[in-house]
Amino acid sequence: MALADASELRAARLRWGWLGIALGCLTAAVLLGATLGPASLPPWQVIRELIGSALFVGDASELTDTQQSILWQLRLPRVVLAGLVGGMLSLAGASYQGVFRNPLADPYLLGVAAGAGLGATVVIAYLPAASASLLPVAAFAGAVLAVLVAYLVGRSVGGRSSITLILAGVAVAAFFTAVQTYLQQRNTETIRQVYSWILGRLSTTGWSEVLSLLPYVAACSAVLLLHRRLLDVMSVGDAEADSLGIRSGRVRAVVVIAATLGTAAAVAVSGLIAFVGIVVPHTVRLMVGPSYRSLLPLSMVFGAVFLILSDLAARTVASPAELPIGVITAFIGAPFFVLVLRTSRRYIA
Amino acid sequence: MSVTTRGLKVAYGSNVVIDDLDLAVSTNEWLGVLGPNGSGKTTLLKAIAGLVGSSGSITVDGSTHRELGRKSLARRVAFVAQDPVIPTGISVVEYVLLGRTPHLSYLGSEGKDDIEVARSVMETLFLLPFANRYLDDLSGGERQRAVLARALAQAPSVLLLDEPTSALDIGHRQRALELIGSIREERPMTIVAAMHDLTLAGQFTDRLVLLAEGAIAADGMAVEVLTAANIARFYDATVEVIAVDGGIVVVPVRGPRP
Repeated sequence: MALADASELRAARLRWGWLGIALGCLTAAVLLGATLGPASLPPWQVIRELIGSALFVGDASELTDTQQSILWQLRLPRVVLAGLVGGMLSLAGASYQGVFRNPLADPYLLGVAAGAGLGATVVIAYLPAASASLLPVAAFAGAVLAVLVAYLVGRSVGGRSSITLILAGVAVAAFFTAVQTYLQQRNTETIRQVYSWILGRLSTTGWSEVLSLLPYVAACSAVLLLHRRLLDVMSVGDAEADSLGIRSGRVRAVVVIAATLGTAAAVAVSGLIAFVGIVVPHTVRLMVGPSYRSLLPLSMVFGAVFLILSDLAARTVASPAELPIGVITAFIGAPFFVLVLRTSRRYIA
Repeated sequence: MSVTTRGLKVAYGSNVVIDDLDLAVSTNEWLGVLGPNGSGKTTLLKAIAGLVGSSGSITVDGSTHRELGRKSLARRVAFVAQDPVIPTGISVVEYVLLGRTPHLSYLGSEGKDDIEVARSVMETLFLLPFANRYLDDLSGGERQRAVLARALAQAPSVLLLDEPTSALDIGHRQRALELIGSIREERPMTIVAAMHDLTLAGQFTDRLVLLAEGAIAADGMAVEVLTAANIARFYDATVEVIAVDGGIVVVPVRGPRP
């Protein structure tokens, strides 16, 4: 195969076809999530209602008032929250894997989970009265603090190299987890509550969680998505990326900050939902290749789809009881990932 | 473009690798940097590329690294590492296009002109047939050319090569160096290459410097630098240097058997 001219040469770019498929899946997932539940809503009327409200045509559907409030006050906030959390965790995981050139990196790599866990435990154990309002704030603060400490420790021992940063993250996570476990043991009556928080759950009271998470997801994902080509450049290693005129330490810092803030905000409202940030990006990588120009946007959309569907399973499978969503993500995600791994032409890690 | 260092010093912690080194490379000269393992060849190249901190001065065409900034420096100086990271699952053309990074804005992406540059570089290096193959599926020689292509896509005036042929067999070694020689005719540039193979270094470069313990021990034409005495002293090797048509050959000689 001899290539004659530049028209047959292409830069790595966003695969629009895949993005179309991803957005189609997202639409389907939103509709399923909005219609299915203890009280099923008629899908066609839900579609009419949604299109009607998008076009500002009042009362386009024949949903009853009760059905309307189920849709607008219960189902949709929860579906949107699942989408935001899933998209953010998955995008953050893909970004971490890029800047650390490590396929095992996930959004909790630098201590977000341990820090958020400690923050949540402190509130649950010592400020139970205010726990509803303070818990997300404390979890967010703990997560950011843990990563900040990991970053400072990493820099003080080994500059900005990625391996010292990862190891500092491991040390900080272990330390925060130790403190968290100690506090938990001292307050055994709260173990159940702490444990349920750690397993992750998406519960909403109207749109307030969505509204508090949305700005973080919007800002952080914009920053991360804009860095998608630079993450491709980072794949050649720090020294060579520097020789190409970028400052790899600075790019890593910016990406880590954006991914951490986004993850911390997601974790603050959802608890520690495992698995999304590592399995979704790898599945996408197996489908479309390793270029971050496709990987980041597609990971975000498929992460949203994955968590919306997982949440749907969590609240319908054992209805009226609700399963912890972390259990579902692993239960669906693990076999699915193995399936993708088996059928993929080549594993890229 | 010319490259000059004055009183260059590079240290990793307390370990001084390059000490008070003065070097001048003229425009479009091919300088071979020789020296035993650990003599500071790689560090010298990295310092010129601005990849390690150094004291003293380094100027590229009269401008210091600080004056140029990282991006302008990368438009002038390209660096090919001895053991480059080969990302998996990306195609040769995508890889070569990464070399356009210093010509793009911080968040920009490659346009038509960049693809044309990549195409032309890949044509020069006989890489067009491999353009859409995965980088990690290529043979050692092809991969080496792809890395070189990425560096040339930077459109540099100074090309720094760290032992560009160390992973290649003798035939591929010769062809790689011949290729670099022919590229210079098409695109004149200054080359500073750390080299392992003394004979090839003597045959292909314009001038040689021999580094020992971070300082220049010998500087000049191949016949002046590659003497049996120099090689014995600095490499601790027993060799015979034989004059042949158009150059010299360095032959290792096996010492008396114990």
